[in-house]
Amino acid sequence: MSRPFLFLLPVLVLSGCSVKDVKPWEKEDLASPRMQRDGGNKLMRQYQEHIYFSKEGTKGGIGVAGGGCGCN
Amino acid sequence: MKVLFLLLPVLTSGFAYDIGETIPDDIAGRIGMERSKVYIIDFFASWCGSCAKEMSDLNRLHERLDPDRYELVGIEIDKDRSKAAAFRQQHRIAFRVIEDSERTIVTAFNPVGMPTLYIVENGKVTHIVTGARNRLDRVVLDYLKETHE
Repeated sequence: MSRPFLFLLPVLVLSGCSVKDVKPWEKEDLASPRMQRDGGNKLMRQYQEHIYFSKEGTKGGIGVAGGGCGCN
Repeated sequence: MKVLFLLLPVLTSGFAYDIGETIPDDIAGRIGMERSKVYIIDFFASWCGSCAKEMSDLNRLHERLDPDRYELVGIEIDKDRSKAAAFRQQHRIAFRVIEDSERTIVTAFNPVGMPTLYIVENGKVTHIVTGARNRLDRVVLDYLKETHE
């Protein structure tokens, strides 16, 4: 086996394992309300926020920011 | 072999049109671009909240542009055609829209976010606006006024 090929082999193998980034135009499914923690159920979200507020004495910081813009 | 190693980062990274770069003829043909006009190309999708916000601004911009010199073109990247049609109807989109459900045009432009607006003149990108802006119509008109009047 030639030496350059031995150098190139790990690069090719490792690049195959790398996670490909999601492009901004591929976020259709990620932007779906079903992808939220509560599955888009408003009542469930309010219920969970109430429990969180009762236990932690604080609220907010729940959910995902942005409306599909990949620049956030 | 050394050249191959040096080219690896270039080959594995995405290509995007930056300011000053020329749009290839096949992509320009898909958009239906003529050399005599300045094109304002906006990428949007029905699932993108920021895109929905800027639609009224884009409709206003379309009304205010001189059709002999400028054209606003929307590139709709929805896979679901029914959702795309409903979005167009809901926002009463008046400008020309190209359906890019196969994502050929958007992949070629490779914008960093949604929505992104490109201004293309003589086949070259002259300005890029990324993300939703307050009164996008004014942002674009101010730019066109600065550069063309």
